[in-house]
Amino acid sequence: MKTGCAAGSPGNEWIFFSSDERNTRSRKTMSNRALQRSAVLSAFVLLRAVTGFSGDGKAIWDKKQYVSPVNPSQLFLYDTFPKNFSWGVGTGAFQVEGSWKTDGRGPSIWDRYVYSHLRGVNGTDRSTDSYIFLEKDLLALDFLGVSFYQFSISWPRLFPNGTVAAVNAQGLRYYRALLDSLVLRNIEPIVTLYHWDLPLTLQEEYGGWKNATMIDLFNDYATYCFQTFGDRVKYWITIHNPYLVAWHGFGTGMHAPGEKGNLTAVYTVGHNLIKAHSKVWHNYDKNFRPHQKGWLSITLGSHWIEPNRTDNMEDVINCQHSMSSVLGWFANPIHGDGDYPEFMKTGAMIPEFSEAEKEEVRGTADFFAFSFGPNNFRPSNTVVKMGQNVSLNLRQVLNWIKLEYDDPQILISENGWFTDSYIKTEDTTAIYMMKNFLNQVLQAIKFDEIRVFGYTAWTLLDGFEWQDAYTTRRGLFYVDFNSEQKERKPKSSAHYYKQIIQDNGFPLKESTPDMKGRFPCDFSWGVTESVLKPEFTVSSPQFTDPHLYVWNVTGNRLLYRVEGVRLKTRPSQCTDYVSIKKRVEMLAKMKVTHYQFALDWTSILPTGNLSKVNRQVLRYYRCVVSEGLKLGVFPMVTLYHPTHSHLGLPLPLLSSGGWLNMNTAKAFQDYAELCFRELGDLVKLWITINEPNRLSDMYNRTSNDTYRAAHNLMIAHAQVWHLYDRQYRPVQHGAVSLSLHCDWAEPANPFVDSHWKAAERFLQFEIAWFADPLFKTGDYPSVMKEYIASKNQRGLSSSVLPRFTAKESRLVKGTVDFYALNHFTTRFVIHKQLNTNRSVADRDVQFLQDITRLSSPSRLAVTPWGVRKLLAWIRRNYRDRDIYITANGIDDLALEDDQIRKYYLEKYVQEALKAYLIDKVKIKGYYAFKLTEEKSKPRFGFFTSDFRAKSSVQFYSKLISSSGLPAENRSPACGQPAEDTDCTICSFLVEKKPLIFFGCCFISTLAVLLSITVFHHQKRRKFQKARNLQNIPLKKGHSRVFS
Amino acid sequence: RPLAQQSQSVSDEDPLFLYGWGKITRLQYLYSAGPYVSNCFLRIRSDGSVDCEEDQNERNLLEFRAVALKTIAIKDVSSVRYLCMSADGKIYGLIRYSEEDCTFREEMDCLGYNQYRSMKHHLHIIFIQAKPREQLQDQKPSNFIPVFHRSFFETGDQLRSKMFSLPLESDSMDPFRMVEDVDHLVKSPSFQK
Repeated sequence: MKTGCAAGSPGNEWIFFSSDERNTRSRKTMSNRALQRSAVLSAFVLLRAVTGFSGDGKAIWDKKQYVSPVNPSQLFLYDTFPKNFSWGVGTGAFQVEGSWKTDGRGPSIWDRYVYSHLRGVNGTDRSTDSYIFLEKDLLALDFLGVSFYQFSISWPRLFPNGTVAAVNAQGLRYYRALLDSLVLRNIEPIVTLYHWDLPLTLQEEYGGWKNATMIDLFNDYATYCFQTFGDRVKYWITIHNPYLVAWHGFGTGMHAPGEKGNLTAVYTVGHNLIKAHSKVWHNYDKNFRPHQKGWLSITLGSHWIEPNRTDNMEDVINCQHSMSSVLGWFANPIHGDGDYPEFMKTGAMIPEFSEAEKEEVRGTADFFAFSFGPNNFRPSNTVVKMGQNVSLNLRQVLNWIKLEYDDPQILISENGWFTDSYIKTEDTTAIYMMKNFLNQVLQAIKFDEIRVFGYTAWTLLDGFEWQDAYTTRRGLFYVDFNSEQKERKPKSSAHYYKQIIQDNGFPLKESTPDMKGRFPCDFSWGVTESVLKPEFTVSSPQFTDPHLYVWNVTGNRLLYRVEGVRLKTRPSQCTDYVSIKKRVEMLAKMKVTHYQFALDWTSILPTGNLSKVNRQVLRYYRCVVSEGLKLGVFPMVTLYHPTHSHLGLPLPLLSSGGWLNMNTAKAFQDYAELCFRELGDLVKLWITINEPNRLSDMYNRTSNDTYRAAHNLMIAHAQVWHLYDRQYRPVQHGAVSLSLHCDWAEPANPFVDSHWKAAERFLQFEIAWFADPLFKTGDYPSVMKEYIASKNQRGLSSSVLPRFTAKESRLVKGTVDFYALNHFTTRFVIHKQLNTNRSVADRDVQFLQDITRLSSPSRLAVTPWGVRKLLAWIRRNYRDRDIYITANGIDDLALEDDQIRKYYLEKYVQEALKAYLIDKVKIKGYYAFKLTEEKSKPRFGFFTSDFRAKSSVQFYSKLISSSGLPAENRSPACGQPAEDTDCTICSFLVEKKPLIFFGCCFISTLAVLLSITVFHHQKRRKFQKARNLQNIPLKKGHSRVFS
Repeated sequence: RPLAQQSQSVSDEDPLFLYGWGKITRLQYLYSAGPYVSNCFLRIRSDGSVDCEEDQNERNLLEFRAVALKTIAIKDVSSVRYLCMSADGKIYGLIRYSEEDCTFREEMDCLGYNQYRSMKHHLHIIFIQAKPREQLQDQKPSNFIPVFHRSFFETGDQLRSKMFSLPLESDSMDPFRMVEDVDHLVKSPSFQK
């Protein structure tokens, strides 16, 4: 695979053009179409001459190599389609024309099917009425700016009885007018001869496609069309999705003519459709191509399927059989070797091609026209699968076609999805489906070298949707079927497709390209932990047990105490806590300058008040801080870090109502004072409460509980801030804040104004809810108050925001020393009116997951540009304040090579750097989330639960050592100049290290030699004295006296 | 029946190390095999009560840590509670590890079941869901089978491919379930934990 196109940081691609620009682009587009037209023509060669048949489609599932989700070939591709790429839109005649019984049109099998099988549909009154409102269709095409329009000719509108006899003049006039209008607009027509509306007479007299006579009848009809329209039509499709004609028309009975359960009929129909197509191709090739110089194919449709396990050969073979039974059924004879797939021939009912027939049908398509839409996926119980997983991966199926049919030229003849009928112009999901499909096509072209030359969005207009009738919509333009004038109103998807056509794809619209640069030398590079569970005692008894033991004295492998001996114990030290030792090792490996963790309130004050203080726990935390400081890692300590499963309140406080009870705020103040007193000399950065905006959601019995809890949390925080400001800041010189959960919000549908408002409203209800009272006004944001009030007036909410008294307002205002934010992702927001008693309903938002974006196993979207927008938003709203990003990270399943995390880190630090250098946001620190993880939880850790480092540890430490993302040849990193200035002796010592070492060795050796000499001399004297004593004889007289 | 999930081929590594003998800490499920409670996996709730769940999941994964020869401490990974025993033989969960009450000897009976006995109270774990009417001292000990965590048998690639494949609802206008439920709360990794 190609990896040349590196994915840059994407900006927001929803950018609008001014009306002036639009007019200019329209004119440019007009000339571009002519250019595209000739370029497309010259790009083609006849496939028949070079047609081969690889049959290697099964290889698509044989890949053993896992491709990382952050590999550029897997990320959303910001690039443009080839210059000569053709953008189009399509319709089927029966779906949109209407006027079924007027102007001489004959009935079709679908007219009867609607009457007999879809009784809820009134065929006379409801329709899109394209036959009447041709001008409106043309305006829709102009709006989109397509280079081609694919439509079908209704066989019974030209020949009411099906046989080529006297043509219906009014029908002929309609198609002539349509074609003339398209040519006038430089829109290339692509005409489908048969899109399912067979003249009813042919069904009743001949049995329809079950009868081989249809082959010649179809050829006659095609010949007439070539003769009549061939001077203006250069692209022909014989039959649209013959698989559905055969399978649903004669197998499931879901399509006209509605015959059921006759597999022999199904395969006979398929056989005749193939022969009919082939005959028409040869007719065109021989009689019309020489002077009309056009191209002809057949649109084949299919699903896509993935094995449960790629290492299971049987599973893979079943997938191949599934694709062969649907797409291969028609593609093998036409694009392959002229015969049915081997798997299908094992069945008894499939007809046979003679050798002459194989030669006749082989290679009868000038390009591969492919349909990939909901009709091949629903109803789900009709999809051919054998226990495998159905997938909507258009890129993979294009790869399958390339491998199976020897890399043909491909026109995507139908693609898109549907919406439910109640959706009008706001078809938000359709935008994302289109975005997903189109980017997969782009990836296929750029990375897999699939030769796709055109794309047909399906469909231009809402219309009749076959078995769904009017219960689903697929149009880019909304049509009210019950209205008189049938206005075509562009949906969001029409605006989006128009933009894609104008851009020719997905150009990168980031306003600032990736940059090289550095954060300042005093920047805080940190790592975040959640609540740090304390060890209550040091881990070894050596500090308390003074006895001596011996092992295995009597051979029974037991310890025996030696009585009478007492050893001296020593006081325990900080490094005796096993977990602290581990933690310090991890921090050293990461090279962070700061470490953020939360104290466990419950462990320190089990009763919630000061009657019982656990000094051991406080000692543990003090040890964590002091050991970190020895390492040069500075602490940021969170007093209270609640989580979803553990609110973290001491039990008596929890039992008395938690944060709904104002007594909890008093207890929190006492707790905070204890912590400031015990740890404040070492800790200079305090967070009072982690994510109070998430904690408030836990009190969701009613919305008023939520708002009351938030109110009390703010007061509790403010009281603690004032306590510190009054009593501890003068001596400890620290800073106090609280950290808010601050994800960014973008409109899910940028073409709908209400989504923009919803995104801003989300930020107000999420962030300004706390930030306005604390940073600005001492009161709730006015947007929030007004919106809740307006919902109350309309009876949609009964929420009441608490009121800040004048005293409370003064208490809370300005009680933050820096802005601390936890940012993880960007949310795509839909406006949705909600009406429940929960506070989340007050904001009227719903979230959408953009499936085209890289996301984590827990579905967190990786949207780096969101953090920069958030920082700018904060700066606009709360002026220039010091900002700490106190948590930023993502989960990654990998235990060693966590590539998503590394990608995330690089991109988010990059955006923070832009915010710092370009937007002048005062970012003081970045804390990556988080140090370790717990087993069987989403893996957010840099270290596994058993403390093994992942590759992101090295990645992050390198980022830290570089102070960001510096250019290669820049000046040295931070630290060296400071060392030079502060420690001259250190520099000298380092320089002279070998000399100093050798000198010390020499001196030591000399000292030892002198000691030996002195000792030896003294020993010699003693020996001589001893010998002298032995030589003295005793006198005889003394002997007598003794005896 | 719950054990049927475990019928996967294991690698040809040394079985002792594969089964965690080389580690101080083992992550396992504890399958209860009677005589009082059968066919479920032991778990410790956040409130300290001990019960059973029919399926293996993240709530009943246990951590077995060796504290001495043949002696272990058992902790529920999800609720962060140690399995402990009172003087009368009743089992419960504690946040703090108590050397006296939360230490068990891991034994194997003649049929191969694991049994756990308190070092201090000299009583086996007797797992009964209903309140016992009789003294626990005279009851038969409960039988257990340690069951390995699924991740032992899955390669990293398989885990990745499973997680990243989105479930597809092809009959829906939103087959990838892009639009979340209206009741969906804003979630934060820092708060969800």
